[in-house]
Amino acid sequence: MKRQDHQAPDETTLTRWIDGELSGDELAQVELWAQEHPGILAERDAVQAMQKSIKESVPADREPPYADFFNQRILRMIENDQARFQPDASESGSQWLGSLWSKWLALPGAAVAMVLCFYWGTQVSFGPQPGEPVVSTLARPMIYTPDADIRANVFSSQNTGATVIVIEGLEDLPDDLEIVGNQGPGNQSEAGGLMASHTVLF
Amino acid sequence: MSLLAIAEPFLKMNRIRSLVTITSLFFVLFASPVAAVEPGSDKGKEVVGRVKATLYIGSNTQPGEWAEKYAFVSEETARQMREIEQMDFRFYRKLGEDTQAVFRSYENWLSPIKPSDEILLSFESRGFSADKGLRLDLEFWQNRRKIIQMNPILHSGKPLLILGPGWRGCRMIIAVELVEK
Repeated sequence: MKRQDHQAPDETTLTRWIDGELSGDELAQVELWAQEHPGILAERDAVQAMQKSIKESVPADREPPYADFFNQRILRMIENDQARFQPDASESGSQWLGSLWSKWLALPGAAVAMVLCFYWGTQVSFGPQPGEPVVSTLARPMIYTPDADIRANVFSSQNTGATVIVIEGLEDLPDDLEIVGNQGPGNQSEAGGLMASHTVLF
Repeated sequence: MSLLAIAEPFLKMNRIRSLVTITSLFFVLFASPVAAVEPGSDKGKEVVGRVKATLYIGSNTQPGEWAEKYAFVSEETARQMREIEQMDFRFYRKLGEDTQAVFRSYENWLSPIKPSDEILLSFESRGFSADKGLRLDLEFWQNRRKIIQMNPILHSGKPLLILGPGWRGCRMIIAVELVEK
């Protein structure tokens, strides 16, 4: 016996059929086609069984316990918030201070703190400060002479505390070099020594 | 974000509180940056000390008439220099001196025989030592040629003495010392 081929439904129709939304001729045509496709029938049965199971386990839409439930909640929160900012005679000192801080002093305090931090950061004092990194020191200075013919010897004078550098190998300055000099002549002492025209050590 | 959205929080405050808030914001946003970029705030130009270079000549023979225009040195200075074997001379004269500021991070120059640049010293701070000495990069220049480069640490009252070139039968002595600011 030859099987009669029915036209296959489109995707949308097939989905509506599975969901049980078809009726009339449309339903009859899909049902006839489905008889020739047991896999589709099994799939529809499985989906419908699942939908039924869901409907049985999930309760129907439930209304709020009272109609103005959400409005009541919002009003209550607003009232609580306003009550927090109302001055209270029984408020303790620390609460009053906290309120004063949050209301008036937070922004000015933050501004002052920022300015102070900036000011401290810009202060660089003269000389070494406690905790300031200092350069590691050597007992004698390092000396470099670019000219290999020139030598420099360094030593310390124990008596004067001076550091002495003796340069050797230098050319003499030309005798015709005139040096203006910025000090007038002093007075020669009777003992042949030289009198001071200034009192600075060197 | 519209201007209204920015201004909305302030409109909700009372008048005095909004005035305090706006004043604070103005101070932070405008006054502080202006102070931060005030001209002449280059820290590298801060003076961290002053150094003086004094140029002497020393000789064991009496200088000629040419030296009469140069100042004698004090007995105390002569005595101290005579205590140093290499600088022990019978006669000393002072040719000139120059005092300059030591900047925190800029080079400076000393020219003790102005206006001549025959003898020059360049120096630059390298910070302070643990014992409050001022460490310098110091260069001695003669006739526009660098002769030596060194890194001494100067302490107040403890000069650096350089026995330099000869001139007219004398020996030049350059004293570099830290002086009061």
